[in-house]
Amino acid sequence: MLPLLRLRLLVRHLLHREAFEHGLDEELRAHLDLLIDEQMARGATLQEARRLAAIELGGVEQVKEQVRSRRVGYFFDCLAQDLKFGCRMLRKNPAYTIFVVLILGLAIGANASVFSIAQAIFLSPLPQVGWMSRLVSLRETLPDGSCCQIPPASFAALRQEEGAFARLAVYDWKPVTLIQDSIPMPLRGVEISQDFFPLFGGSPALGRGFLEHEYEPGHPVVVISHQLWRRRFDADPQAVGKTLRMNGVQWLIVGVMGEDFDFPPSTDLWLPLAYDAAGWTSREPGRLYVVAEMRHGMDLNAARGAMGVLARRLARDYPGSSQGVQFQVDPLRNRVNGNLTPLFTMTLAGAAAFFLLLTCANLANLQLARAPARRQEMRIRESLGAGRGRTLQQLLTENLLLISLGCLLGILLGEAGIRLLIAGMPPGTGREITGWSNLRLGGPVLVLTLALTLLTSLASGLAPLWRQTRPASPGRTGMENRRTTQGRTQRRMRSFFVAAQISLALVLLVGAGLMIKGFQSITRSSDAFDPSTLLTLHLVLPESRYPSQQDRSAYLDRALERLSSLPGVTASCAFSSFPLSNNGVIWWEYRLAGQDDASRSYGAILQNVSPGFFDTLHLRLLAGRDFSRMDVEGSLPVAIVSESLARRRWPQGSPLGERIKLGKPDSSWSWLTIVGVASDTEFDWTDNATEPAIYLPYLQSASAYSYLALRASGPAADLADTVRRELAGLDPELPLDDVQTLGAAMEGSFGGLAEIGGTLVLLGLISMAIAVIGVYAVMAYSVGQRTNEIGIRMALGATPSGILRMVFRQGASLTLIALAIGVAGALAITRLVSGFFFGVSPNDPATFAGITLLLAGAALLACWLPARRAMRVEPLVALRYE
Amino acid sequence: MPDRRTDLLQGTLDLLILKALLPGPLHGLGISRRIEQVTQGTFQVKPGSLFPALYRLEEEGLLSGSWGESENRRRARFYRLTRAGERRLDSEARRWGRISLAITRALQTG
Repeated sequence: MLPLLRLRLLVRHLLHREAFEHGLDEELRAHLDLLIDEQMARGATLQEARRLAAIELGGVEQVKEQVRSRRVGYFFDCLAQDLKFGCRMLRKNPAYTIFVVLILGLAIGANASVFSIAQAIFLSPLPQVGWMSRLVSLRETLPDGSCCQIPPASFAALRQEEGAFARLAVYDWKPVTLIQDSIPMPLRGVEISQDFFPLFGGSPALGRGFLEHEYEPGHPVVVISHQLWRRRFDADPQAVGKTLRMNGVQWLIVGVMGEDFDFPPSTDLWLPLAYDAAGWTSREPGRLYVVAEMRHGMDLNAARGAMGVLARRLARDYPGSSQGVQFQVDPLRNRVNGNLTPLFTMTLAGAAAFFLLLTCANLANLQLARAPARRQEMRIRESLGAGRGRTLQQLLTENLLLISLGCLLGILLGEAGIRLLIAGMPPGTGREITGWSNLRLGGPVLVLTLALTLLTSLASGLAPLWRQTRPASPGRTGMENRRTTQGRTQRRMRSFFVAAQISLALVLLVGAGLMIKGFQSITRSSDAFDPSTLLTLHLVLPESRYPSQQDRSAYLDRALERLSSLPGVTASCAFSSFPLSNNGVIWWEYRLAGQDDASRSYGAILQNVSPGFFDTLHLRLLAGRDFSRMDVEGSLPVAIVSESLARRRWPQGSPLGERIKLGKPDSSWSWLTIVGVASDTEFDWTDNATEPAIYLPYLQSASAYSYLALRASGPAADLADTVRRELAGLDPELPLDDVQTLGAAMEGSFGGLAEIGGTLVLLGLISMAIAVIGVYAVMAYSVGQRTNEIGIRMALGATPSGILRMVFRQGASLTLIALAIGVAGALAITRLVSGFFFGVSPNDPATFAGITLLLAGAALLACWLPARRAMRVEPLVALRYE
Repeated sequence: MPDRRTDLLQGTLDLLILKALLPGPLHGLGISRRIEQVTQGTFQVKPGSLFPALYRLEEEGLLSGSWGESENRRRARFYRLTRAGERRLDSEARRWGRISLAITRALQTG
């Protein structure tokens, strides 16, 4: 038949089904009448004629079904029929329907929200950049493995040698203060190099970008963000050409970026990175973020190889540079939101996938459990002429219907989950995480969710359905009923699915347990600072107004003097790198006096501190002395080192009196004499290692970025306003940021982690509940089915306790095997994501033992209860049951 | 699920139905009796195969059905050959003739 005709017929049939049914019915009735007439004409009585006619016609319904099955659109008819029937079945078993839809909804919802998160912050954090997979971040690694930012001189050399890269760009944070109606407003500025905009796929929507000569010093021009343009200029198209007064200088606005360009996240304005010739030859580690786009056809390994060659050549060409320094090439995707993001997404995705698997196993089991109950129905269908394919289609439709409901709930829950996550994260999250503002349940995620749904329905439905629709072997029909012991295959399949659930639940629970334990250990390490009585704030001393180091230390001096005289303040200090948050942390290269070999350089975090820093933060001085007000420029350059650094470099003796030098071998830094050893501080809680640190007296080297801290005698949060007032009195144009207690700062930094931990725990507990219910259901069901068998055993002399042992042993051995598999799986998997468990070993014995015991207890209880019921079977009752 | 064998039979049945209707309109029972008669009882068309074939031929536009009154004043649905049906009968009959001739020859030789 022609396709067009088929289509027309299909539409007609679907629209006029009733008329068709009516006509068919009438015609068959007329046919019967004609047959009766014919028989009567041959001389039969009316009764006889009716009988003969009915025989010739055969089953009216069968004839109708045969006519229908030949019509175009029969498939849709079946589908409609199956759906109708399926809905009826679901309504008839509300408990089953609700349970399945609920666990499916949870599993699909968890997956949908996790995929959305992965998509937003890991897979495509920069939606406008189609070449994300070619972008890499570049850093330097020292021979001892520590990583530093690339110094300007190396970047300049890299730019000459663009072998592997099509484009190279750098950027650097540049906090600025906008004076608006004489109120200082801190803004996020970013200094960028020439290739920054094209590399990140942005161009100004209004005005222009920077011209080549504007990347030289002395050109105060800015490109402002869409946000700032709306906030400050009410989206005035004439804004280009106006000026902004920032850091004491008038800046000319040359362009406004489009709304979709927001990198680095929440930037207010972009400025040209204008180093002079001396700036570009500096070989001290700066804060430059170097990003490169690999050429087409280059992969990560090729780029790494090319950079290795280049690093060796640079070391040779620049005498006085350190030997053995390498370039670290990482996909930008792994770096743009911190090292943790890939692991974060992997852990969450893994947990969600495990949960979905567990749900599938549970679903498959439920289907298997329902099989015997529906066997009767299947037999009736069979005898009415339904083929195996037709029955399978009906069962699959039923399954799909159920799963679609779960999918619908899953999408709703996924959306709710994302909203909860956004609401639950600290408000500044969007400012820190690239792509966070794009977090939503988008098209690709929905497609993936639908695919998952289909997969789930097949995975959980096919095996049981196949068995369910298998034609009965003639000898067995009628022999089996609800009370006889199940076939071995059936029992094995169910045991397998139950074991899978227990194992998966164990893996999830162990993961959650490790996260919680690690979280506690981080909290403990921040507790060492007594965070609630420590107020911290961030300030930036703009170079335009505090050009020299004396200006900066003079300001800090005055500020500390004012703050420490406030009532309720017991101590105060200034420092440059914020502990536990990785903010302002710069790794420096250093070497030891007496080691002339240029390749012996090490990395450490540099921290400029004022006298009293260790006291204020409740750190301990283990040896030597604190800095004093006598450690000023011109006096002996001194340093304090952290305990771990001291132990690593001077394992035998004391470091006091030893000398170290910062920077490259030929750097202009003077040799520093070590005067003290301080207890270790955690700077970056995400890397599981204690970072070595070198402390310098800020009176000898105050940096432009500083943190101030006050120790209060009571809760420090109340002091915030007073502190703002005091410092405004000192310099009203100075931007103050993040005036909060250390506790609040920690919460902002760990908030996301707590959420993930919470989610994992919730998933783990739900899966444990599902798995334990699964064990119970299988055991209870098996006991119910074996009533006959148990009755016979008892009649033959088995004791009740023997029965209890037999049934319990069956469940317990299953549980123990599943737990063993789960422990092995958890060991393998937690090691894989070990970087995500902070402050705790990935095979922490206590966590493993505790969770295994918990799950074992619950599962064994779920075995014991039905076993006890089996023990109470009355043999006579059991055998009379039929 | 139609397999090859029923396809062959179906083609034969279609041809027989079209041929039975050539002299004039008939209802379902009339058609099956006519076929029985002309094939001298070789083909006995049961309602279970007759009606699906009739509905399908009608859908294809080879037959057109309408309600009328039978010789003994019963309401019945009468089928009439359409122009397309006549053309199909013609071509099918010729094709069948060729095939049966060929098969007869094949069976006779050798």
